[in-house]
Amino acid sequence: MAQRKEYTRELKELHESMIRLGSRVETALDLAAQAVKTCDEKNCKQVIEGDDEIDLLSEEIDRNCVLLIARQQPVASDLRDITSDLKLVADLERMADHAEDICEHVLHIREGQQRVPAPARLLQMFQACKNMTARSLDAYVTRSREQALKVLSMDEEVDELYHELRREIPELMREQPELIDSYIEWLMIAKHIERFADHAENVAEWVIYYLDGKFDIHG
Amino acid sequence: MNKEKQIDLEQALKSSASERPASEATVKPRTAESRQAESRQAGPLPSELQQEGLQPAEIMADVKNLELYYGDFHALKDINITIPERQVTAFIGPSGCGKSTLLRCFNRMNDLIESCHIQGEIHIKGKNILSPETDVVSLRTHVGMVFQQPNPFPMSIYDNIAYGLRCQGIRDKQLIAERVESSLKKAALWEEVKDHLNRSATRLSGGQQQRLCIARAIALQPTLLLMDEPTSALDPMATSKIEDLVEELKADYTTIIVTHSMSQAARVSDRTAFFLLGEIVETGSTEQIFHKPEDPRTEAYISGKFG
Repeated sequence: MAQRKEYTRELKELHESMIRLGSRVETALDLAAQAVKTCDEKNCKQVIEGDDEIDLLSEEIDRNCVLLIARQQPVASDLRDITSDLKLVADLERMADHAEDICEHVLHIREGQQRVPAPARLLQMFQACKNMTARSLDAYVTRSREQALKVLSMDEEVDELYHELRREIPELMREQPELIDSYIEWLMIAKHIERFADHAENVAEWVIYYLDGKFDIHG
Repeated sequence: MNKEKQIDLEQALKSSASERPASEATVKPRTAESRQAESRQAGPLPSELQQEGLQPAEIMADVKNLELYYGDFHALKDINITIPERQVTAFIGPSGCGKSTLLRCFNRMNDLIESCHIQGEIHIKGKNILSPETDVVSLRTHVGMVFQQPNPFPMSIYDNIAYGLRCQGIRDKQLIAERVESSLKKAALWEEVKDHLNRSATRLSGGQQQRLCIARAIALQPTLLLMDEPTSALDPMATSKIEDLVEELKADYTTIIVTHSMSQAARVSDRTAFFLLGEIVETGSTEQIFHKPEDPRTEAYISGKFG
């Protein structure tokens, strides 16, 4: 006889909410990348306004996780599922905040007297981060260790691009001091996207924790 | 096994009038590193405990290749389990899986069942208690039992504790009084009953009666304490007191507890063994069993996916 029907349904709902949150975050990143490329105001506003909805969804997931722990007293894989969701939801919420901050910086650039387009390497960073995020969410949905491990190896590329930009942008500032305001914004955006990728890496690490039950996942 | 540290059951019975030696009563704090170093010096160990760095002197009981039949019914199949000293080991599993049957083997309670026959060995502090030479009466003073339903004797609170001591031939009234008080204190009952020791034990609440039964068992200074669902008849407050007590008794006693409550096993035990259809499916640290069990059947049972 099938047992714990209600509990299983609640766990399924939690998983679905997480996927919904993940896809909202992915959309926010796509829109932010688009905004960076085109300096488009519409995309920026969509990301900034959409963040409230992401915050509400995160809070709802937090609440559901805590209530599941209180009522069902989960153990074993259920416990690892719910506790890793609690950690994951914080990462996803932070990722959305970074997307929002990126869009704020794009709006600042738009407000400036003189604008300079995004450096090519920054666009490359966005692409690498998008690939990483998509794969980390795939790893979560399919509970795939293989996919999660691939994500971990992808963070290096984002970090490397970031360090190159750290060298490149100050040089550009020296060459074109009149564009310094825009370059500062691009540099800040690079930092946000670098942090975004770190959180995507965390998502993959929590998938590995769920699968293996080992806590030494961040290293 | 380290023979110097080995407790001779018979010897312990004779010296029951005196308190435990200080060296035994004091548990030295050990680090994982020092345990591992000692373990390397002490030679081979049962593999599942070796990882945790236990040395043979820290093993209270060792069950080897145990088979138990009730008539034609094969109730326990090739049971192998090591019970570490001064730890709480929980036996969990669905009804009829053999956990209480194994518990009763540790003080040979199954001897009372005519159709029951047993093969294999159970060593308690190195002695095979299943051997025909074992004095079962003496064994039961060293392996105490607390049952599901509190079962105080229909006599005063004081006499419930003193009875076992008198049966052991202890006549020194002062010593008996001291042992009654220390046992009731250890069982966290003293403060509630110290002014009514002559009152009938049957007037106590269920939770108090169960703590009295625990006091009665520990008055005989057992080396091993068996608890068969000791809180299933109690309310949450009384249950919580018994659980606290199990934790406190760990300083001096080794406990095996059979429980149907997963949360109780998770709360009170250091190690957990999961039984199914007369076999031990998995034994491990309670943390490991409830966080990342190895066997999918353990996972399914503790998560309530079957049962």
